[in-house]
Amino acid sequence: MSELFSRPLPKLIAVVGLQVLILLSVIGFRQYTLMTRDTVLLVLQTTDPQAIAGPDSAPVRYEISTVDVSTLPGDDEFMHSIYVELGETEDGTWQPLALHSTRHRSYDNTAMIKGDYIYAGGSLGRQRYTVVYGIEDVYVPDDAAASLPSGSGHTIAVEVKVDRYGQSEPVRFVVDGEPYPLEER
Amino acid sequence: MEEKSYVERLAHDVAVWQREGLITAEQERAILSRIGAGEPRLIGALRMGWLVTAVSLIGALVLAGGVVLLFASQWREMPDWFRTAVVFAGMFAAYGGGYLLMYRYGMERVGAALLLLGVLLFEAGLYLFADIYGLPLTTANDEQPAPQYLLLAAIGTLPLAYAFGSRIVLLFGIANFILSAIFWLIARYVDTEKTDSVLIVIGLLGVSLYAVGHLHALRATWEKFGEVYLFAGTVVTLSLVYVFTFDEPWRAIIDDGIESYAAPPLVYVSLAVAAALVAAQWAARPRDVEANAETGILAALLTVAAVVATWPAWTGYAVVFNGVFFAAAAGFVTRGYLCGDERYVNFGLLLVAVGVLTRYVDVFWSLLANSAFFIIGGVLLLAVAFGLERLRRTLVARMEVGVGPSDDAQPRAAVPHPGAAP
Repeated sequence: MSELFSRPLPKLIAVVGLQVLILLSVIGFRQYTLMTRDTVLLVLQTTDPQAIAGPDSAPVRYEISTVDVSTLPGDDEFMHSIYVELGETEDGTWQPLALHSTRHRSYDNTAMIKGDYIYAGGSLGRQRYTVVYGIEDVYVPDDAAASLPSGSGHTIAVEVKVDRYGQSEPVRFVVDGEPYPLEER
Repeated sequence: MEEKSYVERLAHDVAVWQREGLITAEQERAILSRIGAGEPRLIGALRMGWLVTAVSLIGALVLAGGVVLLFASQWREMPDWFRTAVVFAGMFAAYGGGYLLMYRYGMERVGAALLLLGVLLFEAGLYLFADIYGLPLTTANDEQPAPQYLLLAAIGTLPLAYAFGSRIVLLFGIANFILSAIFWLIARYVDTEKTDSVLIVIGLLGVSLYAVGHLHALRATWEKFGEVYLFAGTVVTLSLVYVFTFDEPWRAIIDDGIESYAAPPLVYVSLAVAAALVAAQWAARPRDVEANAETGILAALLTVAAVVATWPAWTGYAVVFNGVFFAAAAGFVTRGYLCGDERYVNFGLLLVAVGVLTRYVDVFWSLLANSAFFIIGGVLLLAVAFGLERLRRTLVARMEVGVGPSDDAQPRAAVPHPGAAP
């Protein structure tokens, strides 16, 4: 065996094989993070299902698109990104529990979603931020939009997969508990 | 390959000796004839070996930089599978080409440069894969590069360096390892009261690398790698000592309210590992003045690190570390003088110049008007340069005429020198 690895070609194959394994481990780890993603249900601010119908509809706004630093625990200053720690409520939707400037969590059994923030103003001790998560450009395709209910007063949510790094991917709409297909612009 | 490398090195060295008047032109030709290189064209070809190495290494670096820039600008427009295939294809082409040039066509220098290119593409591939597959490239606070990719790069690089005897690849691997340790420490202890004390771990890493360098000398096939570890250990340790010559870190420790005995266990574990390595290299080396002196210096550094880690809140440490820094500079000059090696003298004098300039800027920047600062600084620098040049010339002249204690010293096969390890 040692004689084999004293020749240059087997040595090169062994070393390059190790490097290939290392590179593949990066892909493997990504697959692991995809398999262990949390599924969260994020409620939209609009209650009119027609607001999400078709590719020409406006980008959606989630309830967590606006966060209030003064009422949520955690950090109150942020550098590059904002990490919103989400907890599941009794009705199955997910609401913010804390805000962080890093990927650290404060509670057990929570999910973390990462977003870019813009200072949205504050008054009377309140500090609000508008947060963009990159899952706003979504809509119900035309063929399914015809079956959406009309009028306001509906609960509209998006089922979203979030990984351990807070990266999110929208999966489908849920309107009054009924699933609807989702497409991204 | 080793013998060829020796012949090329000798051809280069005798040219320098002849230029400096140490040997005559006839003696130069006689030496070259003795090694079978009497023909002028052959001599020229041999001396070109260094040029080929330099050009091919620069070529590998430039090519790798170009590939990364290309990926950075066009990357997101390509599909994932294509990007993945491009990374692997680039690596395989570089390694395959390097192997063929080295072992089929006898072009070791360009072949070695292609191996380096393969290593660079491997590390670039780690970051590109992380980017392709949506893994974070920074630490949890989004401020430092993620240390795991640097560590993986080191793990993938070091075996190649040993397998093919490449010191520049080894240096590249060690640099990755050191950077991963630094970024991991910062990420692990960021914004905690222990942030400052874990800096000592970096210094202990430098001492450990230095000791590992001497341990490499025990095995003939690894001896040439020892120089790289000694070089890396020296640079890391001196860099940290330099940082600690300033007042600011010590004032920050006091302002942060860091108390005695607050250093995390990691500091003491690192201290124990470094001490064990220093003891091991001392036990394994022949007992001579150089080994004893070096071990004494390393032990003193470890003692200072232990004291600082345990009782960190004292601004006087800045003075202590200034003493350590200038003592190190004096040590290099002394060693160069004793070994008859001009490179140590130059490096030691460079440290003196950096130390003096730093203290001048540190002390007088806020005290003097800008114009006075630069005028006095310029005059001071010229005076320091004049003094250092006189000292250097005196030392080098004494070394050349054999007045120094190096008369009876035998040339050392693996004397590490700061600045030429790769």
